[in-house]
Amino acid sequence: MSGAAVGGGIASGAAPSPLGHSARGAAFTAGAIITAAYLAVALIACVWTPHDPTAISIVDKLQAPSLHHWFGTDQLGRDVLSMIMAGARNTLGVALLSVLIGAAVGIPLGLIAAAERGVVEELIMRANDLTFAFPALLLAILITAALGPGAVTAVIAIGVFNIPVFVRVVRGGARNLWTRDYTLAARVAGKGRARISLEHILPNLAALLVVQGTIQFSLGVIAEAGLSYVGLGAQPPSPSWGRMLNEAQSLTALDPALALYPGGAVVLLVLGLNLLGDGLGRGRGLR
Amino acid sequence: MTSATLLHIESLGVSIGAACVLDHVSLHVARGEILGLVGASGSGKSMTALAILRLLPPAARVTGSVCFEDRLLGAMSEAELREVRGGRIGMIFQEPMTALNPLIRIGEQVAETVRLHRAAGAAEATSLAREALDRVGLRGIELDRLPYELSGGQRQRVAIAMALVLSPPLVIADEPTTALDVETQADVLRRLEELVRGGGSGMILVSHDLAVVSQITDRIAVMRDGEIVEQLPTQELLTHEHHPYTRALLAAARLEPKRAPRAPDGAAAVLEARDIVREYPQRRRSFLRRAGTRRAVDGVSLDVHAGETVGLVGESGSGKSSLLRTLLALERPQGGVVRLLGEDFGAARGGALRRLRRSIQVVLQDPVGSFDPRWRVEQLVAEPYYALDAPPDAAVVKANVAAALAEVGLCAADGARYPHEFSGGERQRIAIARALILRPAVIAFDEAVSALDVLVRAQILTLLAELAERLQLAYLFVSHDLHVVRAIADRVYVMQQGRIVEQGPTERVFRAPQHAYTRALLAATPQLA
Repeated sequence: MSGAAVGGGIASGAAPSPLGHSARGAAFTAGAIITAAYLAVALIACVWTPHDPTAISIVDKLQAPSLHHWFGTDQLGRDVLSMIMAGARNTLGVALLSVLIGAAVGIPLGLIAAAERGVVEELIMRANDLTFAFPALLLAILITAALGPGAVTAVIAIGVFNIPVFVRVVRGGARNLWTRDYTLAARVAGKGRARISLEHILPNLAALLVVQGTIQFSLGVIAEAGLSYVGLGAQPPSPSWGRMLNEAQSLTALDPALALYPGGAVVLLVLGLNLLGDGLGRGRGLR
Repeated sequence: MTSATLLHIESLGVSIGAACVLDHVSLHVARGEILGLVGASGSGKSMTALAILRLLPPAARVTGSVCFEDRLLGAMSEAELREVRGGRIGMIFQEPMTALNPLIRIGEQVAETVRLHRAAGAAEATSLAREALDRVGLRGIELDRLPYELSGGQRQRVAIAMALVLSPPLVIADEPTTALDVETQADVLRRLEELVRGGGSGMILVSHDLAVVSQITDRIAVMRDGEIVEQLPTQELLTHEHHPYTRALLAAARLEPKRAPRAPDGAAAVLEARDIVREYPQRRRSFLRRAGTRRAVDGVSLDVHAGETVGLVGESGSGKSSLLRTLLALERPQGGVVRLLGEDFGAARGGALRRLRRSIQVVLQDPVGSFDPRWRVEQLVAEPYYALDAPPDAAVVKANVAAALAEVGLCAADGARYPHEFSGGERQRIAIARALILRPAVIAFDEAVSALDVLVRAQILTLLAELAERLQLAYLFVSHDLHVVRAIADRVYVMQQGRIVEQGPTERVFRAPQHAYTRALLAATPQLA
């Protein structure tokens, strides 16, 4: 292949989109800003919230938004803004940790499967299929039976759900890279499969993994909200978006806005993460 | 009726941004004439072909005129152009892998061209497709086959059938045989010529290889940097060399031997293979049946002596690559022994294997895939140091990398760059530097110059010959291209279906081939008169 053809290949990787160049860039920027804002809020919530999100004050219940309570108060008089902030801390923490668990277990397994092939690969991939067959919710119920409900349960359940995704993505990408001649050159230099996996395969999968990580992160946010909605996530009094939604459900007639805040928080964060992942994928020339 | 000139291009110019891609290109093709368009990669050959069909990128600005069948293509609407493309001008591209849609059955792909351009019913389109496939040498092939079920040569024939099914007055073929091995290439060229001449069409054959183009063309235009430097009848171009650039292309295509062949003067064998057998399991047809095996290498013995260049020739699928992987101890043979410097390389493990690896290195075909795109050149070139027990310290490595780069005609500053910043020829130089850095006894080359155009190929071969001389290296040079092997090897082995069918000193084998297969290979290889 000639040099010109290679250049053409790279250029065609950034396929013309109906949005055009600048609009795609703008979507990516928006995603990055939204995600960064959530992270900042979650970090601030670790040290400060406008009010104590767990402080109950029945006299102040179901207040409309005001300067004192920006998002108003709920049926127990808790400050909704503070609860959303603390919930962000909780949700982002759970989603992030579960992505890390999925990556920490899934990436090595995927690399091993691609490097070893044969029986080892078959074992890993079939075990993987088995794990994949369990929805996060079912896993969470199983783990709750052992550990009881809580944020840790949610982290483990979502983390286990993430593992097979990373195994598949890494194995697929790595198998492709193993057909490249540079892995052959490395073997001629005397390098073993493990070293080639770390030095040549993993770095070339980094872009793919960043994108997949972002997607799993946004799925993790939804899963955490879902688990705490059914009561398998963070337990009271620790605030969570899912439980806020659940509680607001019975009050929709009284104060429909109460459901809008946690619901909106989830939607906006997932939107931001998806825009970010999409933009990262395009920027790295992934298809 | 119409004039004899089919296509008339008058001072065609194309520029993209500030870059001038084509400059005052004037060409003409008469009915029944085959024009060759020759030049190095990047000379504007393919761009000319695309400019004729108005398939240029949107940013391109075009000047000059292209007149086809007495109509100006530049003045046509997109709908009229679509009618011309495929209907009146057939196009054949280099890559048979990507020219076909992998999900559509071949009969359907050929028939589609018919249905797009003629109000033909399904039955008529299919029968035309059948006929076209028969004509290109795929007689009796099932129309419901998918492209992946075909060999490269068969796929290229399907692509040719697509281009010729409507018997277009003009055919443009862009490197139609570059991806094929010699016997297939010869057959495809012969059929193209037959079909074009038989139908009274005109053809433009685009290629970097004068030897290929000179086989079937009436006239040849030589391009360089977007300009036509010379345009002459084929015979005249080959016998009188006019322009210095044409002369360089001719010299490169002739592939003069790069050095005097040396007889092995009793030097010890550095690499020895005895009765190598390499079998691969076949895919199981059914759950109940046992998986069979396919014997890719069948009892092969060969020797490479110190300082000697040995060629290994054979078609794709002859088992060359399997043999090479075994010789490099990347795969274990089912039978036989590989000895490197007298030690059993094939069975070595762990530390012993790593120590032996220092003595044999490899240069691979693909100048793109041979390098990790995230590594700098200096890291890539230094990678074989891993085979040492104690790699030298950073300063020594850096100095040695710089020396190796200088050895292959690059400079030390290139070490800080990434492989994608280099051209194909330069990348092959980097691969050679990587193979040189440990000063191995043997370097194996797997189709190392096949992806390069003729001028660059000649340069790399000259470099290799000079390095072998100076550093007393032994080479094992694996290629399907006989002329390349002839230009560099002292001795050759000819391989067919997993066996060595002929061996001997290069000149003897090429002058007086003993085996029918060697003779067939030689006959198929295009050669300049």
